[in-house]
Amino acid sequence: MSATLAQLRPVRVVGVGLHRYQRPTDTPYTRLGVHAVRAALADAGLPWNEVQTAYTGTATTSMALSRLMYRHLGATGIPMAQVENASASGSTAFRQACIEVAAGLADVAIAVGVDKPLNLSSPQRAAGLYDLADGRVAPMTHFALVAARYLHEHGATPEQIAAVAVKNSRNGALNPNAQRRKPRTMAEVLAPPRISGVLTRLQCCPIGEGAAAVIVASDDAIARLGLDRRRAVTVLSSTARSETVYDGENVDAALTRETTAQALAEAGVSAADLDVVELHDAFTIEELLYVEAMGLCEPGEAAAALRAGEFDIGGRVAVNASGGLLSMGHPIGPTGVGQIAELTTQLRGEAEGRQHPTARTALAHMVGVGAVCVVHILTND
Amino acid sequence: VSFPPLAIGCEACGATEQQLRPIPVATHGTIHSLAEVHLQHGKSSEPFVVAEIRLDDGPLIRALMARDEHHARIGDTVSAVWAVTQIQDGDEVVEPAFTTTPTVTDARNGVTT
Repeated sequence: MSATLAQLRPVRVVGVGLHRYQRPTDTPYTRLGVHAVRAALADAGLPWNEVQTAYTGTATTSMALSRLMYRHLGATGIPMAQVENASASGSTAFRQACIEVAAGLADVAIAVGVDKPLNLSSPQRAAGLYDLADGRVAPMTHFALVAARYLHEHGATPEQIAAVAVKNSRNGALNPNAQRRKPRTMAEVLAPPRISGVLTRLQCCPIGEGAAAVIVASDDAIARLGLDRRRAVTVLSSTARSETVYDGENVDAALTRETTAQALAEAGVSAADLDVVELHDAFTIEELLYVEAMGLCEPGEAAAALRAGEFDIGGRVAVNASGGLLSMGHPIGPTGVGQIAELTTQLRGEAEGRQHPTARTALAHMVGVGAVCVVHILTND
Repeated sequence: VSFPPLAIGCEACGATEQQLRPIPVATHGTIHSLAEVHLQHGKSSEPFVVAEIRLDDGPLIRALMARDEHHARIGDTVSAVWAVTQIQDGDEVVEPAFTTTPTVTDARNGVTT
């Protein structure tokens, strides 16, 4: 018999920390990662030697990078492993940490995301897969094709898609850990350089470097170590799925729809209960597609809801209050862990300058090429 | 019917190599989506157009549009021709490309599964 996370013992997020996302520098990944881990330990009020297991979400730096990083905190001999799942690497590392605590194999686990864009590889090339476009459909062109189809089906305008970047740049400007910190006007977002289809540069996320860390713990550990239960955030569900064969439906929307529906059902909440959502907006069109697929609005209504301010901080449901991948940035391994850090901060009421009022229930969503999708639901109840 | 071919095994049902066979597929279809690409591998290049095309025989494929096809629209019917897509070291690179105005050089043998 299999169980959902909610049916196992409770898992609480007790500490979060970040190294700001930034353009690539000479700083080694070890320093980026240790900075984030120390911040998370300080936030939790925990010493490193209480952490019993470590998962590192990473996809573009190097094999075997965990121990060279964690040893700087004191080599305690704990199990550690890299988790690679494309853009969802960090989300999957967080999921593994949650599962280990929920199962009772560990009382305190850490998920860390760290990356520098050193080795960007292609599974299609490794598989010897070629189509008639012969490697000319990079992710931005994949989503440019999705955008053109969305415009065609819903009679939307390029400005309505670009409005996602205007909102997320406004949020990112309020986030000290964001890579892009300038609020942008519609004219700036629409300005060249054009990248692919309707997508301009500011409608594509920056791939930089950074790190994020999240510590999860059992109630036993919280009591034994005297951690602050009031600042702890509960993980209600953890769901991961992969693409299957869909009957004509947009693949990206279908995968997000299925994974989110399962995550909501396992958590025992509905889309209408969500107050804050961090979702995979690597390209502007994705946010419109996914808020519809998640059921945050009716199909074809995302652009109108966005325009009405429903997805603003202070709106009906704050979407990408961190600035999202578009403005906070997308250093790959850290991104999914950074989403949990943002949502924890929102649910604690500690997101100074960008706090969504009455944040009680939150959802984190990442998609990785392949495609895979990982969704977590958190609450401060 | 799937393209590119899934010779190792079928993603819809898990059928093995012994149960799958290559079949010719006509390169006629309808444009499902379009994108004019300006930046490739981090560098700006001469814009080219990539299309998603629903072939009459079923699969949704991705392919290049012929160079003069900057006015193609979603819903247009297209078919493939052999087209010079670039010049490399003085040699013409010929690839299948789709056009809304097919000629006799129809790339009928270009797509199989």
